[in-house]
Amino acid sequence: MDVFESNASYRIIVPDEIKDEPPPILGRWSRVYTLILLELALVIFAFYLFTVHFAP
Amino acid sequence: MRPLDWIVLVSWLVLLISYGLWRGRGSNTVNQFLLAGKTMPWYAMGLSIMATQAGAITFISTPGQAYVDGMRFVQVYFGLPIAMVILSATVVPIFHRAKVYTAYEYLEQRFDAKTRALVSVIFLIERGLSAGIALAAPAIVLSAILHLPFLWTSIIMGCVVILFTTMGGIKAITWADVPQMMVILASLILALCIAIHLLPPGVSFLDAAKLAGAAGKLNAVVLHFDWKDRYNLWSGVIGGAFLALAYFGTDQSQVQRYLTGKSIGQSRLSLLFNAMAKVPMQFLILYIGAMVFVFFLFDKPPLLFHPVEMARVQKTPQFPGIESRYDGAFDHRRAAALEYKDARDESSRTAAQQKFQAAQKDLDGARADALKLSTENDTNYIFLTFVMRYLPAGVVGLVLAVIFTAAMSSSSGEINSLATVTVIDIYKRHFRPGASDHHYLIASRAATLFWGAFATIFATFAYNFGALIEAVNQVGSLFYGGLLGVFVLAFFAKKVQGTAAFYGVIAGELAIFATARFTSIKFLWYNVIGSLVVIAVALVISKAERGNADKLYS
Repeated sequence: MDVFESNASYRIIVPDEIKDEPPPILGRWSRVYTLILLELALVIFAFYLFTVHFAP
Repeated sequence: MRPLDWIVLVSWLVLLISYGLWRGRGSNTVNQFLLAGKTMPWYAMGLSIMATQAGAITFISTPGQAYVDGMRFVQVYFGLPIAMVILSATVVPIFHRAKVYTAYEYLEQRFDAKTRALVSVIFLIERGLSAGIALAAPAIVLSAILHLPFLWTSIIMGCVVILFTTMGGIKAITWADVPQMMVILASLILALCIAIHLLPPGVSFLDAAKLAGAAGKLNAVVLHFDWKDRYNLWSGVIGGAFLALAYFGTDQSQVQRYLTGKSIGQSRLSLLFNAMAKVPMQFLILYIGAMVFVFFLFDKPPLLFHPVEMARVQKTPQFPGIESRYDGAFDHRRAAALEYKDARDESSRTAAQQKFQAAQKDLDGARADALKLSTENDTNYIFLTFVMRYLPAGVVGLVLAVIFTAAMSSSSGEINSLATVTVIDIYKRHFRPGASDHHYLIASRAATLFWGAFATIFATFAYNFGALIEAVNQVGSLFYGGLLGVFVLAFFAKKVQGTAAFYGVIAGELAIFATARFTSIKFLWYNVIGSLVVIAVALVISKAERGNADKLYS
């Protein structure tokens, strides 16, 4: 049977059949998420400075 | 269009479609056709997710949006990275481990068949309409620009999409999006460089930014909060995060992309890549619009950018008066812009700025009067007018090819996801369970053909709807709140069962439609309101159900 074929009778599948893996950088996913949110904060701040600098 | 443009346009189309079909070869099982055999690397999924969103109409209309309204539209995307982080941490591992083809399949595992069926039907309605629009909008624009009948452009686009999607499946779509996204970025950067290069001698890059700023076009962040204002920091971060959560977490056209990942980590990386790249990319596209605005400070733009509407308005008796006002305002604005650029001290700069803004107001007034005589807004034609008139031979063909293939990318992804939900959540579940893999593969191709034909036919009728296109573009926000609410319940409210979730979705949808019909709250907030109502109603029903059960057993 195709491993991705859906079951005919539905049930809540027990997790952990597919293992998680570490990210390619920073060692833990939580650190990658923090990096993304920091980048967002920096980008918004930079856009704010840009807006203020060129405001009419 | 010059011969070189046609050569570039046709060559790029043939090259991209051939590449996609070559990479998509061997899609001869349902798993291959719908999930690419779960073999896709993160960069292909990430670029494909980005290309699907950066559909043709975004590519066409976003620079025009900045030209008209400034760069504040970028704030809509501020919530996207937050949503991507939440989805990577929660939804991606859950869907992978549940081994589902569709997001809605999971709802039956968690709740019951009726909740899955309800949500699947909501998706088919919402995405079915969007697929038609995704084809119609660029077909209308290309028809006006290339002077071809709309029926031709929509049918040509529809046939190419049907052929490509039916033959190649999700693998062809995803792989074709990789070079497509790179060429989109390259052509945008090229357009920006040319816009700056075409500025008059003596107007530097910094001068251009100052002039765009003086006209209020560089308003990338608006801190002022207003429920009725579509674009500010708060609606962008909160409303935008809910919209992105719903779009990437519950819309099969997006979920299907990261379900093709070979591992949880690869799917996460594809979303996080979008989280990092999307906001700067939108900023770039909007900045191009601001630079096109500066270019048109010195080179007179047409009164209306829509060529067909312009020809119609020219025949009206009011036109000569409006045109004369417009010409006068343009001359004043150009003189004031040069004066502002050359101002040496603060007082002369302030005086020049006031003149500039007054002339801009007059010019906007003349354009607004002309637009009143027109039946269609011309924002979508601003960037294309610049491209067609000022970009060199070959680059015009490349930009039009990118628009065509961006429409193809969005539509084929949508049609593939519609076919997946039709076959997996409706046909296989309710009409023909237990058939062979080959049977479902044929059914998937047939469903792709059906939805492709539906989108093409809908697109040909959409021309007559005219202004409805913009309204229907907001259809997603009428449904996403309900979808998001039920998935939040599925993931986080362990005690809520199927019936509570089912009625919660119905209540959430009613709340969204009531908000849209009876209030002036803007559409980004519908996702917040809808999902909160779904959750609240489901929790109340669930508590009542448990109370009844307690009474029964006591």
